[in-house]
Order: sequence, then structure tokens, then C-alpha cells
Amino acid sequence: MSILECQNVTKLYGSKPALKNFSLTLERGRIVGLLGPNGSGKTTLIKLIAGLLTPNQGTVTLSGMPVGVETKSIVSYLPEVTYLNPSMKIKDTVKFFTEFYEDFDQERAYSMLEHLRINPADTMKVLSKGTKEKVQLILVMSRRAQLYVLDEPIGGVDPAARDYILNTIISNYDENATILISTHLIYDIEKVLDEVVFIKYGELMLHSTVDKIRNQMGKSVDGLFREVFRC
Amino acid sequence: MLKKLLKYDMKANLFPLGLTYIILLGYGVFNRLLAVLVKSDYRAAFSFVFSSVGFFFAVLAAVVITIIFIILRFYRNMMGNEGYLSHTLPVTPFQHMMSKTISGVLWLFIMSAVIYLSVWIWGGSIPSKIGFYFDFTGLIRSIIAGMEPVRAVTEAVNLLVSPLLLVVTFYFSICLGHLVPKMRVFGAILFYIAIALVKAALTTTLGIMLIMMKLDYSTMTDVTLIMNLVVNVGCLIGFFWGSCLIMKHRLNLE
Repeated sequence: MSILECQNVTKLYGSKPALKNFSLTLERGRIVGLLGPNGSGKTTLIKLIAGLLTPNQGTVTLSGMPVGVETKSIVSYLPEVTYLNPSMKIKDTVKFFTEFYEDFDQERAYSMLEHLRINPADTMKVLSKGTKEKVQLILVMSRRAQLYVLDEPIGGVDPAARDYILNTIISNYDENATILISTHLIYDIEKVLDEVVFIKYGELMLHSTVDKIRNQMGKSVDGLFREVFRC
Repeated sequence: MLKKLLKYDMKANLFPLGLTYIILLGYGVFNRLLAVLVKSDYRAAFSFVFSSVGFFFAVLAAVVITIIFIILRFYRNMMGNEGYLSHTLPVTPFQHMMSKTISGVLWLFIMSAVIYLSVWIWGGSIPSKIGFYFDFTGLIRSIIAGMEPVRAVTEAVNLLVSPLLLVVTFYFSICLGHLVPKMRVFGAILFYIAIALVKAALTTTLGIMLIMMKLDYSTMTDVTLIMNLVVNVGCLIGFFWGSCLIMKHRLNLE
């Protein structure tokens, strides 16, 4: 059974369509890049998967289940924003995740914090923006979820931190799990991707494996992206 | 899950509200000491009067701060950036609303107890009727004095429903305001005022209908109390479910 199935999904903000008859199926055990320019509908799709939005038309199912409480327990979501309470200490956020998510691996979280030399006794508000994002990523990747949905995980950090984040993503997820990464920094992320989804004006432009793009089209993902989304 | 949510909701406001109540209690003790001083030195009387006026404003401030933090907790945790975490927990909107409502009402009761205690410390006696929640003391006395059971029960239930309705009305207004893009806070305030006006108009209309029925005074009082209770309970249920529905189907975090 596929992990994600979107069938003819339409999402409107007022009268403006953010997604139009969007259909997509993702299989398990894949690292998928969700690529598109700003305003293409990436975050809207991610929010529908995470249960933060309800489609106007169509259906979104995860592991055969409609989006709801059950799917939220199998989806690990990293938003673009800092979503942790600033007054909480890092160890409190770890405890929070342990209490609410049965699949949360506390040991793994503390191990990653130690590796990054982040003090669990620090409160969120004293951390830099990049460190906050790393803490959030650690919390998300410490879950043994079936689908990881990461919205711009490397957008606001320096190149060295980007490499660390990508390594963290690759080395800390279950092989049977699927990772969906939304980004427009394609060059950095291309090396870890199995598949790519191109989205433009709320419509699916391309869903292909990276190998196919390279072997059959003779292009890098970055090169194809620039061609498809040329201004 | 509800217990866990409640734990974190109570904990989130523990420091700011705890500090507020400690200061208020400290102020009560200070005033009490001043009162003792006045007995031995009349020149302290002016200080005591000014301090007592200040104490009144401190009580008012404690009420306002409590309500603000109850509202802020809901807004930030449900509609702010924290909402990205809250709404992706394996928890239903109903459970979120229950937790926020229970924690809001608990803080109101804690606030009332602290004010009651601080006034008792200040004045050295139990106040008979100060504010909404102290009616409970008068109510108990009325029951003991042989008040009609219907009226007593209605009043008691209304005393429990009222803080619930207060909190849920705030939350519902915030949820309604969430539906107005780019004007969410202003929208929430407008919706709160609109709800208050509609509710006042409804109860006034029903009151006029009762007057036109020309009932005797005692029956009129009982019917009015029951009518107010029914309106309050109806609003409570409607606003609660309305908030759940908005969070389930119309959520759009920015």
C-alpha cells in the first residue's frame, strides 16, 4: 500500500486555487523532493498532508486512511516556522514529544543534541534561529514515523548546517519510511533524492525518479528545474 | 491525551499567573501590616487608605492579567506558530477545546481563591459579596436559610456555567476571527462584541415576552433564571462545537 495518495485535490484560498486537481501517489521507502517556485502550492500540499488544511475537493489518504488523528501519529512534520513554545526548555520539548508520540525515540534525540553540543537545559528563546531549526529537526527525525514531511528544512541555515541537516535526515530515518522534502535549494538536496515532484501554479508538472531524469533526459534535477520553471 | 494536554496548558501559564498571585497575596499581607500599624500610629492611616485603593487596582489587575493569559494561551497555541505543533499532534480539536476550556476555568477559580484569600488577609474577615464568584458564599447561606430548591439549583448551575461560557466565548471569538484573513485579532474583538450584543438582545427579547405573560413575581423570577440558564447552556454548547468545527475544517495558519 502506498504511503500517500492525493486524488484530484483542489484547495482554494478564497477564490484563488492553490492546488488544482492535484493527484500524486508516493510509495514507501523513498526520499522525494517536492520542488517548485514560490507560490507553486508546495506548502499547501504539505499542510493538507499534515492535517493543517482541508481540501475543497478531492481526497488525501495516508496508508489508506483519511487525514485525521490516526494519520497524525504516523506523519512527522517539520514546518518552516519555529513552532515550539519559546519558554520551554529543550529537555521539556523532548519530554513533550515523548508523551504525545508513541514512536518518539528519546535516546536518539538526546544523542543528536549531544552531537551538536546543544544543551538540553537551554530554553528555546535563547537559541539562535539556526539552532532552533536544528532542535526542531532533531525532534522530528527522532520519531519512527512512516512519512516525514519537511517544509524547507535547509532554507534558512548556512551551507555547513545544510550538510549536517541532510546527513541527519538520511542517517536517522527508517528505510521503510518515506521522506517528502520541500525546497527550492535543489543543488544541495539533489544528491539525496530518489524521486522528484515538480509543482507549478498548483498543478503537477512532473513526477519522476532522479535516475530517469539523469539517464534518460541527460540532465541534473537542478538543470531540469531551471528549464521547466524558466521565468 | 486530554490529561497530557491539560498538564501543558496549566504549566504554560504557571509562571506568569503564579507570580501575579504571589504579588497580590504579598500586597494583602502588606496592607494587613499597615492596618496593624494604623492602630498604633494614626499617621499611617493615609498610607493605609492609599494602599487599600492600590490593592483594589491590584485585584483588578490580577483579574485582567488572568483573562489575558487565558486568551493568549489559546491564541498562541491554537492559532499562532505553536498551532503547527498543536494541530499536528494525534489529538482531536474536541480534546484541544476541552483542555483549553478546563485549564481556563481552573485558572479563573484559582484567581478567585487567591483574591478571596488576599482580601481576607487584608480585611481580616470573609467578604460576603465581592465579585461574581463570591456569590457562592451567599448562595450556600441562602440554601441553608431555606431558599427554594429550584432557584438554588439554578443559581448554582449558573455559577458553574458562567465561567465556562466566559472562556468558551473568548475561544469562539478567536476562532471566528481566524476566518477573517489579515484582520484576525481585530476580527476576534469584533466577533466578541457582536456575540455579547446578540446574546443581550436575545435575553432582553425573551424577558419582554415573559413580562407580557403577566406571571406573578416569584414565578417570573424562577422562569427568568431558568431561561438565562438555558440560553447560557445553549451558547456554551454552540460556541464549543463551533470552535471545534472551525479548527477541524477551516484552519489556515499563516
